Amino acid sequence: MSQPKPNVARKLAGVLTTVVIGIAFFFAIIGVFGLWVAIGGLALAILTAGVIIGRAPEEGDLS
Amino acid sequence: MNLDAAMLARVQFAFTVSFHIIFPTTSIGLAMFLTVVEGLWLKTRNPVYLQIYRFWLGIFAMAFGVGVVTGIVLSFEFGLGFAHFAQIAGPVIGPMIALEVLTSFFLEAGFLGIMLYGLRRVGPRLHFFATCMVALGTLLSASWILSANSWMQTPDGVAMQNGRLVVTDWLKVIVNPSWLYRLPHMLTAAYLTASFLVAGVGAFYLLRRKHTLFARKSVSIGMAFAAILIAGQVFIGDILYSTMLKHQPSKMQAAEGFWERQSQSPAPYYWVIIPDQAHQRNRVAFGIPYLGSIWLTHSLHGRVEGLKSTPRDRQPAMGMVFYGFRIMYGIAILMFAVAVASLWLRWHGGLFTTRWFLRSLVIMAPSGIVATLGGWYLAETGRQPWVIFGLLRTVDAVSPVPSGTLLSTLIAFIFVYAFLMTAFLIFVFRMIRRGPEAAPDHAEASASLKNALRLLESPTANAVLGR
Amino acid sequence: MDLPLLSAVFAAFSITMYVLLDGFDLGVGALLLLQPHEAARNHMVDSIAPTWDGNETWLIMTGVTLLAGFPLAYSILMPAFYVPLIVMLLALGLRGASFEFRPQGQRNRPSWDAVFSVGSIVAACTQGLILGGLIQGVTIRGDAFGGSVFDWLRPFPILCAGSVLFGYIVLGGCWLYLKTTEASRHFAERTLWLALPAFLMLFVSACLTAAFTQPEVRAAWKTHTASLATIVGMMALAAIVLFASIGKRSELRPLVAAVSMVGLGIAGLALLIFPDIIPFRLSLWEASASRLSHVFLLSGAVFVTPLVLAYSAFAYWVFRGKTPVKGWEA
Repeated sequence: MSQPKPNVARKLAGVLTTVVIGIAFFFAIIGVFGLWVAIGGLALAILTAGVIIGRAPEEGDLS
Repeated sequence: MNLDAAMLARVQFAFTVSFHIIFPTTSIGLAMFLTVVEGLWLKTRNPVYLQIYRFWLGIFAMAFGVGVVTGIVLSFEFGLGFAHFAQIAGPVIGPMIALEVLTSFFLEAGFLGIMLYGLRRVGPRLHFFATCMVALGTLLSASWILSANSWMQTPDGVAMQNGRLVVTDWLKVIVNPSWLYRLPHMLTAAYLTASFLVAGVGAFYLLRRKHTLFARKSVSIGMAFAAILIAGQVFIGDILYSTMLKHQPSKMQAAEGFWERQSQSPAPYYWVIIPDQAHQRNRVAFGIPYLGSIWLTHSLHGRVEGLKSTPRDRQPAMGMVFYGFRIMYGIAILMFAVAVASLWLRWHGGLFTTRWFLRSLVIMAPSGIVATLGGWYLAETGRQPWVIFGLLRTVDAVSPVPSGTLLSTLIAFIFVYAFLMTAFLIFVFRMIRRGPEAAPDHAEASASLKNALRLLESPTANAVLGR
Repeated sequence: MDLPLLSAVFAAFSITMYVLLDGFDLGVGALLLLQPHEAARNHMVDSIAPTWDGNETWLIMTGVTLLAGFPLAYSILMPAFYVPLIVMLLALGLRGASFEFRPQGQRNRPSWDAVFSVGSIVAACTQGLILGGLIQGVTIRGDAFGGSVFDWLRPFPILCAGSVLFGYIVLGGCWLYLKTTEASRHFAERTLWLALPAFLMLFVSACLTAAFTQPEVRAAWKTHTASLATIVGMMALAAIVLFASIGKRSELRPLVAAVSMVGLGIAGLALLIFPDIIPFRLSLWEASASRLSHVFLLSGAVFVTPLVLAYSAFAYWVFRGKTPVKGWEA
């Protein structure tokens, strides 16, 4: 899978978004916004991880 | 540090139990990992899963073996170092430990042999069943031990009669207030430990461009588990935090590094402190402003309770508790970051090729073990000065053994265990260097009872059995 | 129902299983040091390889039963025998490790064998020291150990250490006599000719010393004269049978005789100290935990012990017959 080299700015934006989403999830799960948000955040985090792992390119494939 | 008998007994127990916990943590985690991998193999029949299974089976067997040897020592050490504790608490924790011994023997006798040597003999389905039972057995073992230890943290279901503890309600002893949270916390820690070990070895091979297929699967499975487990672990950890805040406020006060009854507002989140227990203050304290208020009080300006809220004769030593907690929590944050990065890279298709990420996985390979040790230091040093919280002080629990004797046996333990660890690491690194293709059909270690099943496959056995 | 008595019976059963089973493999381990030929050493190790680690579980079971059922006895005995117990645990640990590591390379095998052998000898001796210390009497003050941690370092426990070591060597020799062929069998034969008289001499002098130094032993003799005399007589008979069967055709008879001899010894000891859990100091009822602890402990034991026994029997059955000279997997 050779991809066209992504634009540096777009890549940076992607990294920053990921970092912000990650921190948001972390804060939510450790209960900063209350227990119910924590449970919801945990469920959403596991769901997101599940979707990404499920949809990712076949694990053992050689590129 | 004063080298009196009480301190030496504690150091000796801490050393032997810290050394021990490394191995069960690894084997509990690997047992579950092996179950999943074998399940995947049965489902897909992809031979790479079987290769992963065989590779980690050898390491699992050795970790299990060292865990058993060092565990024997612990079952005697309750009395060797802390005779009065054994006398008081024996009727309560003794039966639980007895059941743990029986459980693990049952597991070893029945299913470990099949798991280690029986794949060709009993066929894949029965073998998978044996793997499941071994994973279940390690889980049961952990449940009993965690139940015994949690009872020491939050004792329940007992009454004191003539200076002896009498069990009034076994259900309350076993399902004591903290066990329900501490057991999943420890199990998740073990599973995370295995995930990072597996992913770390995979990343190591990927960086050297060896065993690519095996390595990609390892990184992929390891990180998939880590991503889901770490989210769950952070959640369970937070719930446990509030439970312990209720039952052992002194532990959590020490863990956060504040002295005054009410901290400053807004409270920082300390990462480095040099506590001065004698003067009840910190000599040095560095932290991130506001974060303490946000994380601990869920508001921007909340104040955190400090250790002075606990009378001095009931305070744990802040330094150990604080750093045990910070090591565990710091690693949890790093794990969370790695998990998020792994998901991002997986989405973009760079999980197996991004070198900085693979390097960080190699560095993080032992992180689960370090975090588990940190967590246990938080739990055990934070319970001080009690050995059974609120019931028996550690200084009153110590055996009548002179400090010189304790010191010499401590030194002997250090030498022997260092030797064991060296041998274990040499064999593990040798297995990793030789690579998965060299992994034998069955585990090499353990010339023991488990061989019964290996023998059944050999021509000699066929002759013996008259076949 | 007398639950403490049942728990004590379970503890006694565990320790008897331990002495009889681990006894012969510690004995084989001890003999390793006397065997200069590596091939013969491999043969000897192979003969105990399949079963040794199951045997050790009985020791842990004994310790944990004491902790759960007789916490007072456990909390007195552990500090009293602090040094020999820790030395024993380290010796057993090193022994186990050398068992796992000796197949890993030819070059280091003699060193691993030496570790294995010394570990076995040390473990056997420390067990003898503990036995001697128990009979000699443990000093108790209030409900804690009140003596010195070196109380076991006296002539009588040292005599017991020798008896136990040679008892295990006799068991180990008989095991080799049963399980091996050719050179190793001759080695076992020669060992038995030397070890059996040594054991008997040590054992008899230990018994006499016990009778002289421990008045309680004399008292017990007076109350149980008939039964103790019967036991001693049967032991002597077993020893004679053992002597007579060395070098003869039946390869099982020496082991049966040796196991009976040691088993009778344990029975005699049990009769001598019953109903004490710490001999002549503390009865099992005085040291007992509360009722619910015994219920919990015994229900686990009743459920699992038959399984453990069945599996052990299966393992011994699988490995019955002579150990192949080239190892089990050849």
